[in-house]
Order: sequence, then structure tokens, then C-alpha cells
Amino acid sequence: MMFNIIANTGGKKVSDDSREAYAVLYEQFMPKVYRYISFRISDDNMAQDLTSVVFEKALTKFEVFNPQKASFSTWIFTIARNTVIDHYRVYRKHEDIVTDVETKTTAQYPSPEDEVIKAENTKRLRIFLARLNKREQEAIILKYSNGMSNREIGEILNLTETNVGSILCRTIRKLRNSFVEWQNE
Amino acid sequence: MNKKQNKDKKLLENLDRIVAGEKLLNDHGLDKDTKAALELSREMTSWPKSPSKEFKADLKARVTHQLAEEKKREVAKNPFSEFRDILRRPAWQLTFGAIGAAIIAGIIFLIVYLLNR
Repeated sequence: MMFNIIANTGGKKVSDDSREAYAVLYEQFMPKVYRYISFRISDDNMAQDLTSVVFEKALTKFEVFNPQKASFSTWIFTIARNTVIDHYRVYRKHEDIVTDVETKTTAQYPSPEDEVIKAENTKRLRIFLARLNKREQEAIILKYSNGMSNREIGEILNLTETNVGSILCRTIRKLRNSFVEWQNE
Repeated sequence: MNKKQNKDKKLLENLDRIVAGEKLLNDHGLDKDTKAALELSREMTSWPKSPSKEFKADLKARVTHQLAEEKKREVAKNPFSEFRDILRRPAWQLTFGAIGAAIIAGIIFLIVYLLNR
């Protein structure tokens, strides 16, 4: 209902209804966007700053959002993806997952040793993830951070559903092999 | 479907179940390689964190403020826009429609009454 109203404005004017729609979508998507960004940037404060930037950009551009062209999910994650890319460009870093930040663990493991092992495994997996090519990284992050369907991932990355499936299978096995090799070292 | 395709299909099906927080499908029928890949997947799904309450509250306040500012700007630009927005709402449309119908019915009744007098 709200989307029809937004679509009918022809991208010219943000009405009260579209403001309400934005508020509803914000509630629904903010945690998802944060999870996506925190998967790519392990510094919590930076992840929060970039999440704010995404929603500020989205609000500015909301009047040109056309739900007939793409879903809000595709649209907002495209903004999030570009925001992360811009962030790395500005800071002149390689566009990959930050691995040098200390990995935090939650106190759900039976012993301190388990926590240390878990933290080390996570850190190592992040390093392997950072070694993947951009497309593989994106597919994995969109899948694990928000449980997106292969079709949704395909819409964001401009790939077919089948292609996303193949990338995911190949990449998970690649990660698994790297992990096993490291454990056997 | 060849063996590799079948393995990939099982891996993808179960991956979707893991990210949805559901139980694995045909757990015992899975080969060692697929089980290991799914175990790793389970580990990775535990990574994403939820935003802190403070951050959620702060960002929500900022977004609400931005939306209010935008509305103010719009009203300043076009003072009748708020009235137009009200008219767009189905409840108000129904109310105005009912009032309009009542007025028309009243006029017709008055005309008929005056003619028959």
C-alpha cells in the first residue's frame, strides 16, 4: 500500500506516507545493514558510523527510489556496499575485510581455553575470507550476515541465482580447505 | 544430476536451513565434505552482531529528526501539502465522501420537498 503511494509520486515528492514507509523500512533493515557492515568491518564504532551514513544517504535518495525497479532490500544493500567501498577508498586501504582488529568473543564458551580457540578460529577464518576475490566475499557475507536467498544476492551483485549458488558452493569449500590446511600445519 | 551437482544441491539446501536457524535436512545422508563445510557455515553465522541499544536509539532519533526536518521544509515550500496528504488517506477520503453524499442527498430531499409543497 505504502509502496504504491511512493511509486505513484513518480519520484518527485516525498509524501507523509512515504515518510511513514521509510520509518517502517528503517526499523526492519537497520539491524540487517549493521550486520552486513560489521561482517566487512570488524571495528564496532566504524561499523556504526557507516550504518548511520547508509541511512542518511538512503533518506536523501528515498524520493528517487522506485520499488518497481528493485526491492528496498536490493536498493539499501547496494547503498551499504558502495558505502563500504567508498570507506576503503578514502582510507586508501585494500578493499577487504579488516583482520587486524582483536576478535571479541561472547561469554558462551565453557572455559577460557575454548574462548581463545574460538577467537583464533574466527580470526583465521576472517583472514581466509579476506583472501577471496570481491565477488566471493560479497556472496558469502550477504548469505551469512543476513541469510539472503541466492536470488536476492544475485540482484545485488548482478548475477543469476544459479551463478550465486555455484559461487557459494565453491567458496565455502575453498574456505573449509584453507581452514583444514591451517589446522593441520 | 551428477554426483557433484547433487552434493552442491544438498550443501545449498542445508546452508539455507543453517542461516534460517533450522535443523539440517537428511543429516545422516550427507557426505563428510559437505558436513564439514556446513559445520564451518554454522560457525560463520554466529559472527554477525546486533547493534547496541544506545546506537539503535541514537540513530533512530537522528532519522526521526531528519524526517521531521524534511516535512518542515516541504510544508514551508508548499503550505497546502499537508492538507493534500490528509486528503490522500483512505479514512479521510471515506469521511469526505460520506459528507459529500449526505449534502447531495440533503439538497435532493430539499428540492423534492419544495416541489411537492
